[in-house]
Amino acid sequence: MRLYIYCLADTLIHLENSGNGVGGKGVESVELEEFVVVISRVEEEIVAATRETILAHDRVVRAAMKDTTPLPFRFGTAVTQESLASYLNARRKSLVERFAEIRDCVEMSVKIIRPTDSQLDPSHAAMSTLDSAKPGTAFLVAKRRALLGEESLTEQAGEIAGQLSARMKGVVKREQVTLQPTQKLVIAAAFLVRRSDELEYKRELAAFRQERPELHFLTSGPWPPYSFANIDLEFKSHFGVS
Amino acid sequence: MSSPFDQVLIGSDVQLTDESELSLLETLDHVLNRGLVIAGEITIAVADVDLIFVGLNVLISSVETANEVLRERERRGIAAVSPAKQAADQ
Repeated sequence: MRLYIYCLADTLIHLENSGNGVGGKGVESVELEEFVVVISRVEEEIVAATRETILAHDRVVRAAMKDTTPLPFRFGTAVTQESLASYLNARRKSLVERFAEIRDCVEMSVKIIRPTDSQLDPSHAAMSTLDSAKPGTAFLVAKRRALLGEESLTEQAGEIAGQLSARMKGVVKREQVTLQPTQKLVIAAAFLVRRSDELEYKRELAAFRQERPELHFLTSGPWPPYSFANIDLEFKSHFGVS
Repeated sequence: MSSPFDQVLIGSDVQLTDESELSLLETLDHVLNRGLVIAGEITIAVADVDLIFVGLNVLISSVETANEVLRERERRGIAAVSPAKQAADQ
């Protein structure tokens, strides 16, 4: 028997729909090592990732959000009770600190998408200049253009990220910004926002969108603080594991 | 290689307010890529790659995450075999 873990809390959680876990399993909140863990009891080591199970995981974490701000676990965490107790015991200090940081906060997500006509891509302007060049020259020119374009895009992504951070500075507690996480995304940002500042956050973001109408935005939230939950790096550095 | 977002976000300008395909993708991005991860003892003893992470998330998570893991393994010169097999071989 393993415990499939949804999230961890530092206060009691009242779960209304106890049969809505992964695979239709019941959901319980149990006290362990001074924490409250929201779990389902499962037989399998690996819970299959399907649309239903993934949505169930998020649904349970969101339900816990009604009572408190939990630390969400990544999908698929199924461990023995002994392993979980050991984990909680070894990382108590980091977890308590993390709870203090995320208390009464939510995560808001912003992804900025590169426009399809690539107004951000200056290499396009030079595209027609050497169409009639010899194949070798054309290859080198294309290569150079790609390199210059990539550098320029990274620079512009940094500039946009800087502007976004400056705009949101007063209304967010923490931020995680990734520049160009994929080819079509300029930046992916996660903001930790106090629940009381959510409206102000949305106003500031709307203002930023108006300032940069050429950019496409995908905004979502509020989320449980998935992006601000992990303490793994601190643990590894503490124990010198590499 | 690309993340699931590349397939649907071209030219989009979307504010999510309810259940939709995009909100599912956002959910995938959060639930599969982020959150607390329990690093088991085998992981710590063999490499800094979580067995659960490799066995589950890489196969069904974003390509970006899988690439990160593979790049890190390559950087460390770890052969492309599972941590479990490495542990067994030792």
